[in-house]
Amino acid sequence: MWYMNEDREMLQKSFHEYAVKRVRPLAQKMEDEDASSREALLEMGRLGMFTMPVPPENGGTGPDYISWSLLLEEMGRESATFGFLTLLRQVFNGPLQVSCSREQIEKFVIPAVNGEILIGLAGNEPAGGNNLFEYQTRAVKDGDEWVINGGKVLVTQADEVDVFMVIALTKDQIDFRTMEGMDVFFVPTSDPGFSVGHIEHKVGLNGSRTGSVYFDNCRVPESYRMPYPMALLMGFGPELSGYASLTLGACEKMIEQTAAYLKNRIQMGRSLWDAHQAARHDLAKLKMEVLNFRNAVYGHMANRNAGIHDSIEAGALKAASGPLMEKVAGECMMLMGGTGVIHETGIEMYYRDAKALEIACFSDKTFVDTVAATL
Amino acid sequence: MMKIAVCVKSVPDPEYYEKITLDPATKRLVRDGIPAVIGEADRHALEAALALRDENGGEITVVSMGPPAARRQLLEALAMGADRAFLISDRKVGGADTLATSYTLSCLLAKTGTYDVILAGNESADGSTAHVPSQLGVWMGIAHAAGVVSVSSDDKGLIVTKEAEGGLAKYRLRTPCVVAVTPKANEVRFMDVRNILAAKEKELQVWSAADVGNMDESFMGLAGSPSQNGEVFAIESSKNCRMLTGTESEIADQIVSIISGNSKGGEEA
Repeated sequence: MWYMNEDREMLQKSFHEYAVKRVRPLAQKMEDEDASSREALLEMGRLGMFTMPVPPENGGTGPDYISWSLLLEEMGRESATFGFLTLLRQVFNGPLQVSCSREQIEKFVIPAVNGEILIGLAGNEPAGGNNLFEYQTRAVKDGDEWVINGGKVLVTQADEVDVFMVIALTKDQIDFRTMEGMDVFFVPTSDPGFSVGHIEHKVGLNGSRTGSVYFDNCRVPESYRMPYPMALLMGFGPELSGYASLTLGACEKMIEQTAAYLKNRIQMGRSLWDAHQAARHDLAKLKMEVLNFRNAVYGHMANRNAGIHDSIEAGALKAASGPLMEKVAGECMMLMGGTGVIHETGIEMYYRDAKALEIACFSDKTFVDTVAATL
Repeated sequence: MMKIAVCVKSVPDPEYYEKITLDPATKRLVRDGIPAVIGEADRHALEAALALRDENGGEITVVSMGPPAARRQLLEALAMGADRAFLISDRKVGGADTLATSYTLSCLLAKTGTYDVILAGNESADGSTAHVPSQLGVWMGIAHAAGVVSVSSDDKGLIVTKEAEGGLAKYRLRTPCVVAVTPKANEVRFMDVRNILAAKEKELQVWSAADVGNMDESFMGLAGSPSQNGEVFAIESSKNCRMLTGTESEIADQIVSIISGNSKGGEEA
């Protein structure tokens, strides 16, 4: 492909090897037992897999979003959930570069890049992900410390991370224009006031350990309050294109698996592939869609390498990726017939994961109005 | 500080074995369109080198003989963590059998430095002769061990374990020495992104025979190769199921008879 070079070929090979040897055996356990991916994610960090778009002064290897996308693709091939959890590392690591103090970068961000700790985001509340103004979690200053009380819902990796970034209100009213009154704090999950509630059973993305968390008089020093919280929230936008990368991997895997099945399934002396032009063409049409999507994704990543980080473009890719994956999974299940709907075949898992991906981070339906506002 | 060399070979990717054909005239593998990789046993030799360097400190030099494209596999060895790499690529060394290959590698090793330990994969994925490491030891006049399943070091030198009939045999090798490592010896570590991106900054030299110098042409390439491939062909096999009938001991007799080639045994189903 046009975006590959010698470095990226070696990187892709190493990502592929990791995905096959580590993620493949884990994927089924994450799906069936909601097993934790924590150790594998920390190992990836130690292997430098979270360094890619991070600047060298913060422990990174520089801004190559194409390599980052290759990483997500390879993880997404084996498990959409694992791809999603890999993506979250950068969703956080990227914006944290600009929202944190130097002290916070050294204490939290660099260790997260190096796989010493996992950082999570505890943002969402029952009031609604986009409705910060009605959030209940409060932080009150007490001397040189902040005391945090409240709770969060639908938190990814609720019981797996070392430090949460917690969105909390520090004033009775948030200023609509400046967002003053809304703050973000680093809260270690070792704090005695921190606890984990129910882990949800979801349609897909099993193994992401989505659940509720509670803060009961958690105390953090002033130095744990992010100096530029808006930079964090605004910074999530461009990272959303990673959803498209992991989806690409999942789609390619499903198409390969289905082609292999059709070629090896013999009926009356002929393979389904040879016997049914319609089946071949159905799969070829999916491949064309995925190929076009691939070019869109890597075109976007090349733009990011050139310093253009467009949130609308990234959101559009994210919004397109879930439906594409759902379509590919649905068609592949149909082409494989009874085998396609069996859990162990693996395709139906992608079908359910696609639905969860359409809603994760933000629902595609909410994003549409963001685009409408640009018209 | 340990000075370690690792011999690697660029071989066809095993994932593409079904697509490899034999050239009926030259008896060589037709590799067009087949990607190359570092041989599996060689990767384990490199891992053994990385572990020795982790423990003792030092430097890892990778050497290889092959076509210019084998530079890519040496770059990968650097990405896996080796410090420098040398490839001898020259028509004069082409067409070599294992004896000529080991001679060429011994010259390349001598030119690039002195080493405490020379590691190699026990056998290549394509030729599978397992000749080269021992021949290398003979050319260099140093201790050598093949079929090694574990490598470690202490203050007196190198300790290796070989698989022997009915068990394992442990040896202490005087350095310098050549150790041929099997895939059982270790688990190859995952590559580190930082090492991959740093690989291009490391020394990687591609040399001709003249660059290496002091080589005797009668030991090199085709001229230095006493063995040449004979007839090479693919074995055709087919499935044939026979049902054996009778009592258990009658069936057992029939199986013995089939194995010893005296009878077709049973009825064809």
